[in-house]
Amino acid sequence: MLKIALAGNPNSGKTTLFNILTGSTAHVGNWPGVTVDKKEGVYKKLDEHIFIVDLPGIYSLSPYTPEEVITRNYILQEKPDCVINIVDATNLERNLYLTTQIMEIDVAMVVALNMMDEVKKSGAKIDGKALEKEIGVPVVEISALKGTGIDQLMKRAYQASKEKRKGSTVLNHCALSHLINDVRIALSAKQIDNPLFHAIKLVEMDELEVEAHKDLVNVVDEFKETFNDDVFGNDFEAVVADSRYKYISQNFSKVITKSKTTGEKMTKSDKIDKVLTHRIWGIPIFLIILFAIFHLTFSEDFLYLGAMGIIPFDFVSLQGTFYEGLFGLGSINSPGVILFNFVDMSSGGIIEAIVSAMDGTAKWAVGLVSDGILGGIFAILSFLPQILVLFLFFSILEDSGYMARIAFILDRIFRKFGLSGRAFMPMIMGFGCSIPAIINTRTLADEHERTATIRVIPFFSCGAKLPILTAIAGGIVMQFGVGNADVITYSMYLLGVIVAVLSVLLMRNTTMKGDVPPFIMELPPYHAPQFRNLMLHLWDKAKHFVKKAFTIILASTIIIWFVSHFSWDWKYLSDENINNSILGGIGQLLQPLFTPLGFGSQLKEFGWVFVVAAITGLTAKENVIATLGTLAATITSGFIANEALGGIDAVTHMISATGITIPALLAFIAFNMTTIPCFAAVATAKAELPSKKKFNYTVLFWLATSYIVSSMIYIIGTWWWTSFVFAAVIAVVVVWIMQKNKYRSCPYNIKKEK
Amino acid sequence: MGAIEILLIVFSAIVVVGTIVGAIVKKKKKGANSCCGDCSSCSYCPSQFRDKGQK
Repeated sequence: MLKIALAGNPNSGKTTLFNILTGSTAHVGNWPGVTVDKKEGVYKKLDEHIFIVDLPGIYSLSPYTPEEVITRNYILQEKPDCVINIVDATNLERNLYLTTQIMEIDVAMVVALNMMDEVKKSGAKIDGKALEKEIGVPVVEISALKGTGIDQLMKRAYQASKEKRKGSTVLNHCALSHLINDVRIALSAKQIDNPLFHAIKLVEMDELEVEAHKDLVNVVDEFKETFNDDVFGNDFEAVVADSRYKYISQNFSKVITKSKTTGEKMTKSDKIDKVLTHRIWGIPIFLIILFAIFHLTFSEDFLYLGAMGIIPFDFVSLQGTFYEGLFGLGSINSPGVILFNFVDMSSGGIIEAIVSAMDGTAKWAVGLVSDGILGGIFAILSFLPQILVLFLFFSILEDSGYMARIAFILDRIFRKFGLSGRAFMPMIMGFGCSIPAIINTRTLADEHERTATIRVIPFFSCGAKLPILTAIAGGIVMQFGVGNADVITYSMYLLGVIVAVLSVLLMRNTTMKGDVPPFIMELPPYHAPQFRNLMLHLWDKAKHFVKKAFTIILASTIIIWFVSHFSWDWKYLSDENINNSILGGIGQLLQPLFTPLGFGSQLKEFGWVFVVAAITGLTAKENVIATLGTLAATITSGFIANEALGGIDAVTHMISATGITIPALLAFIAFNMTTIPCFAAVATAKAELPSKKKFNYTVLFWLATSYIVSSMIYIIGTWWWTSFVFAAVIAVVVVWIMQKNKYRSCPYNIKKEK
Repeated sequence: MGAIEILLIVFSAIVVVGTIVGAIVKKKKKGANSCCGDCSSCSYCPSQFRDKGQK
């Protein structure tokens, strides 16, 4: 099968093109660095099937970042039949720098001029044919986003891959051309593939080449002694880079006809950025946007119309009808809550139908189905709509280009705490799932920064933790009539971020010291979110969630039901005797450990349920609420009737059964948010951390942080005056650390100072 | 014990054993350095990266 690789600058549209070509659903984000590894798929629209490889976005083939090494090694060692170089046509000159490097490799190549629709919209013109003549490889104009020019691109790539191509360079008139040629001849004599590419890299004193061709280094060194450029001295890498750009601006830029107004007029993105990335207002605007998202997802009082006494129509007439659950009384529910209620009520009907169909079967069998299987599954599944609504908003922020701005806005603050804005990218991904987020930390070059980031990623509440937040927040509002679900959820999300930032501050100034690397990121232009991308994101999320619900969650709830209905001598116990079960025994044994956190020994007889739920969450975080659902249904069925409970109902029943307080419930959320993440995330962290020792410390760190944070929340919530003591201690530590390190300099500033 | 009860026990056993065995098989198939193994929902496979020794 023919093999075609997609290579190009970050955020040039490679993954969008890859998805169109292969019908794949790989994650596409409107910010640089989404792809840190290569992805593979098959294109089937030509006579022959073609293997497509999407490579990480890079600016050059120098081995400075893991992405650059992956791309370079793939093209040189795997030898694809053709490379499609995707070029962002709105930024042609900068993108062609990489093109001139790929051209030096002996591989068939086609340049795809992407985003041509944007170029035309701006009033500029690019003469693709003239560019093709200049470069000497086929050039095809496309728009990956709109799917135009794709067939033509693949046809030309297919044709090109059938022909052998020798590498060519734009450095023929550069001051180092003779040296490059000498080294190339020497490498050719040694039968080395791609001699031109290796020769240029060796002249640049590229560390990989120096290591591979030690015998030729002296040839470069001898020449170096006699060479002195007016500007760059004998820094050959700089001389080569300068020659490339000179060639590009002299020869390639003539194919661009810029719009007469370009340069005078601010683009739409610039105008939006003036507001959204404002030095002072940028962060408050971000917090307001985030709150609006939580409000639309979790609030039971849409736009606080109920609180303001503005009731658009007579809700009293809805009392007792189907619509009461959908819209609430005296207020309007937010879209997320309406969807939640709809699924919750529908699931109630399904459960009732199944349980009544089991009439006549043994009591334990009805219990297993209603409490064990359905209780656990529906406690989780009812949150799916809210998870999807929340991620729809996150996807809109990401796809529109705003997420990249958030990293830019936060860089200034993060830098003071010892992290660059670059580290915020994987953290943002952590809101979706910790696993890809931990893997994405590979883009961080500094090992200490990477380790610190991996450790705090689980504090950014992922989709699986959302049911915990929503169910507990809903339970607090329902049982105590205090607060709003959206405010509680939003505050707990922010708590995760604050704990992450403080942890980083502590680590980067103690065990993980190091300079903060400079943060350079190209801000992508804003564009309207693509419906297809949004739906793909949601589909991925829903599929993953449902799959997990019917595998690991279902298996866990069945096990939970069995161990909560059998004693140590393996005798069946009725619901009323759950305290004497295996699970009850384990829970009660561990309960004292959680007393400082508020959900330990101080609770009434079923208090151990919270401890067990927190522990089952270590397999998958959805299990926390699934366990509460199963056990709450079992406990209440002893007093009420057999019924499976939704997540919020389960929490509400457990609150009244155990007497747990609001501070303890908040501590329970905090504990689950900051403790050891799910098995899969732990395994990923183990694989990504540089040593076993660091991994062990990381697990300890998670345990200690969750214990300290949760007990602080419980203590402050119970005895409010202690907040002054904690605030003072934290303030002293933060000020001391910041004073000790003052402003963290980036390496460039250090050089200047020297 | 009626047919529904027996079916229920068999179903529970299949779900629990199937999930555990499935997870183990997936993990073994993917190799020691794999992630969650849920490739249908994940687009960030780390295995190739590690094969190149770039960690």
